[in-house]
Amino acid sequence: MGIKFFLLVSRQGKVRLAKWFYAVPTKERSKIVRDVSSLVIVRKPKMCNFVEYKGEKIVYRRYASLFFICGIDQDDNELIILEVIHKFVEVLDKYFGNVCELDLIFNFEKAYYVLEELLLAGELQESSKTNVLSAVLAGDAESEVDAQQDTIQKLVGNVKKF
Amino acid sequence: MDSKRILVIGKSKSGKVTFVKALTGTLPSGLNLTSNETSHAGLSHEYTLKNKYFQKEVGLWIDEYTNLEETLEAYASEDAKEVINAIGAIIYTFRSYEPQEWSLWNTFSENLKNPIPIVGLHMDTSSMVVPPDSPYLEYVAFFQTGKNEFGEKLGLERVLEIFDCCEWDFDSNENVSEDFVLPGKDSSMSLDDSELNALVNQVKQLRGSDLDIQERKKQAISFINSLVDERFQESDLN
Repeated sequence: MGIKFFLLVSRQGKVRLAKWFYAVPTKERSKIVRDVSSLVIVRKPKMCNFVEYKGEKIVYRRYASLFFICGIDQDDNELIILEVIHKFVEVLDKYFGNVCELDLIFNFEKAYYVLEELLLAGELQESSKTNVLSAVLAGDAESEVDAQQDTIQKLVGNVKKF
Repeated sequence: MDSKRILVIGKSKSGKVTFVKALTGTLPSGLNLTSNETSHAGLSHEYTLKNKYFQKEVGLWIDEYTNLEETLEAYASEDAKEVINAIGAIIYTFRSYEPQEWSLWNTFSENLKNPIPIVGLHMDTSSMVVPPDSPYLEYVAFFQTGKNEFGEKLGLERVLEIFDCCEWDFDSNENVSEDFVLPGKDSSMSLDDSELNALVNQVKQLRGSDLDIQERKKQAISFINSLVDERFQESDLN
């Protein structure tokens, strides 16, 4: 199996994004998030980016004040996961334009869209950043068209009332 | 103003007012400029938090301590619960790093029911320290500028970044879970494993008991009464 879970945790321990690729009860999810966050946040800069946790491997990378954390099996390749994390960050950066934590707080659904274009069932499904970005932007354009149509329909409805 | 406050706390002459001046551009009202010996405890000020997503008026509270352990015990007490709930971020200013104080702040932050971001703001330019990292307590050297090896801003800009990401509204859900859980069962009706096991065991005992039918009916009714709020009777089944 590929990535089991993908977490985005701030320096203060707040979870900004959590994507699970296997079935796990809510209580256990909370426990995993708590354990993994506290394990990763206190690590020094020079320490290895791979940590063992309950028979699994945790691959993490810090970008500014955010920790991108993935849980994988013992047999999986950690270096590839680091590359996947970096790809995700690059797409976010391109999409938001110099992305910061605030962008992810106020547009968390967009961050999920990007992740869902990139990963499917925990595996990298699209390696091209351009394609991922195009898909997300196409989705944005569609929802904008829908929103505009809704607005026009409401206006027409209001006009008809008069 | 209906948003939470920033608490700026430190020893006397630890740089609290310097930080407030740098943050807001003005000095707090009520500050005694004629004497250096006056305590700054109890001062308040206002700060407008502005970023590309929102603008908020956030109040600043300034407090001073002589004994940190006693002060933190007071803040952690039941009486101070409302005060803690009204705080969105804590800035702890200091000139010289003291491991004992850092450890006290660490313990305080770990024991908070709803975590509050605490920034240990080092106001001294001549020395830098690397205190032990912890999830809720972050070290920032006030006079640093630029970015670190992770691209994270340093100094006052880092403090502003932390403020941008804090929760300032009182009505935000303090108990939000780490995961986005769909609305589900009413939690008051949920049973944990031990309660469920106890119920199942009671039913099994009742079924397997050698009591006569009237006695078993009585026990079944009292069992159902323990589950429902109203007094249940056999006639309710008709």
